[in-house]
Amino acid sequence: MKNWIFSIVVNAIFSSIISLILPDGKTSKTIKSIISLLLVIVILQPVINLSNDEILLGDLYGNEVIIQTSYLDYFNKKTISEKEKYCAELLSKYGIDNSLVDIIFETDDKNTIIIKKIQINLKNSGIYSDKDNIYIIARAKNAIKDFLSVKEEQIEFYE
Amino acid sequence: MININKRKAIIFCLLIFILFCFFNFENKTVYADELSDNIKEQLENLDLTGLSDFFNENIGSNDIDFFAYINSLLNGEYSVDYTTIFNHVLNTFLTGVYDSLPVFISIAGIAVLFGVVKNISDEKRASSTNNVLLFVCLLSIILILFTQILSLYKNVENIIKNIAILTEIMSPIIVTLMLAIGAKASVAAYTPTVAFLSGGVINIMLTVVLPLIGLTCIFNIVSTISQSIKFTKFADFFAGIIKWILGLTILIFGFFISIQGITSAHFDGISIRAAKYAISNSIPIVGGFLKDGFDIIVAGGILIKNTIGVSVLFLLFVMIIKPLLSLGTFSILLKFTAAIIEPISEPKISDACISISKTITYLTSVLLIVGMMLFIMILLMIFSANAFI
Repeated sequence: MKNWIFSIVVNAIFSSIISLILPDGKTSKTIKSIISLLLVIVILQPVINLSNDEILLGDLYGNEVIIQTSYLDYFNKKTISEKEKYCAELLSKYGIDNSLVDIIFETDDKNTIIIKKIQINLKNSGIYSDKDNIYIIARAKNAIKDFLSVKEEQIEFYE
Repeated sequence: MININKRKAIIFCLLIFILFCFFNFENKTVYADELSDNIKEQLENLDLTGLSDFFNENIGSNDIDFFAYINSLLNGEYSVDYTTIFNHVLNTFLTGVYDSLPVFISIAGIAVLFGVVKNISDEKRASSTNNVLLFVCLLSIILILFTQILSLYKNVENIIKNIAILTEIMSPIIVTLMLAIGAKASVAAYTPTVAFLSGGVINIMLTVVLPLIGLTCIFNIVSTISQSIKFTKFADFFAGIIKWILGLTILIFGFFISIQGITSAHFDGISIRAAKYAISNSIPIVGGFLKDGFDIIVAGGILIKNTIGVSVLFLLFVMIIKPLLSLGTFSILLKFTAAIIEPISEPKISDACISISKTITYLTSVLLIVGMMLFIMILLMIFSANAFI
């Protein structure tokens, strides 16, 4: 490209100098026409070369956008810990105090959180209700199932 | 008796009002503190070193540090001082004028000198001498202008390359934040657009449009120098191609980014609102609290995203304003010189100045278009995913 532009400029200056030097007459007109023709050939050089070369289009897409996965991990963990907190809160509303909720999850390529398992540790908890323990746990399980939109089998109570 | 009861009722109402205000204020302060802590924690987990380095490199001032700037934006302490900005712009413009003044004085001097020589010489005898003199004058004027144009051309080229780097640095950060707050459709819409801007558009500008502008300038200059050979039609042809490429690029980019951006933002907004509605209604006891807790995390992410977007816009403004002003200064001074020369000297010289100023207009257009594209994209990214809280 640079060479092409340079050759056009040099040819133009050269032809101007020649047209200034040449005395007026028939021969000068012929020389000027030849110079003009040469200049047109120089200008059309890339078009002539186009048939020989392959046309290469530059890459239309730049570098791929690389997501900061460490931040996403942190953000998802924070969101899940918030859910764990509120699950424990929910359990206490059903009379199960001091429970430890652990949500096991993974994310897909679109950062959608997929909950795999919910483990509820009742080792240090006490159940305060006038109803049977099994009945309370079943109700709490149902509430967590609705809240997290998971299947009942995914919720596990253990001591 | 009635008066005492009335007083009691008023005092009771006042007490309730004060208590209500107190609890309300207390509640807001707690949320504000929680949000501020959350933002701090999120910022610690986000990798901003690339953007910070680029910011400090391009702003080039010890007064503004990137993180201090971000924090002042997040705290709402940053205010734009229009007087300072206006003074800075004016100073840059005037410095550009003073710096370019010797160039234009010398051009005007050469032209005026030629005009004087031409007028005092006998036209019939000195016609060929005048032609040689005009050729030499034009060549020297063009040589002077050419160095200036070349430096402006290189400057624009570097700024466009820097805009591509800025796009590549800022997009992973904003896209990550958008993905975290749940704007999945927006991420799917913006990721190819970002790649197209930093790759396709910049490549087209650097490898096609800028060389064509250079070529148009060369053809215009050659047509002015040469007495026998004219390339004005070639220059017009390339100028037409430049206009078509610029127009089509804006059309394609603007059309797709606005449609995709707006529709994806609405889609994300509706899906997140639906999820929030489900949470609040499915669990009557804790649903409201849960919504608030999530809101704080998401609000932190949104605030950081918008702050980073604003800082990139500020960076873009600082990057573009100086070359734009120097292009403007150069174009105005060139036209002014042509206006001064026209009555005194050969019209060819003023025509050469005007044709070169057209090239400057194309360079300005390219810079403005690339800048505007990034500006629109960041603006759409800032406005998308905002309706989540």
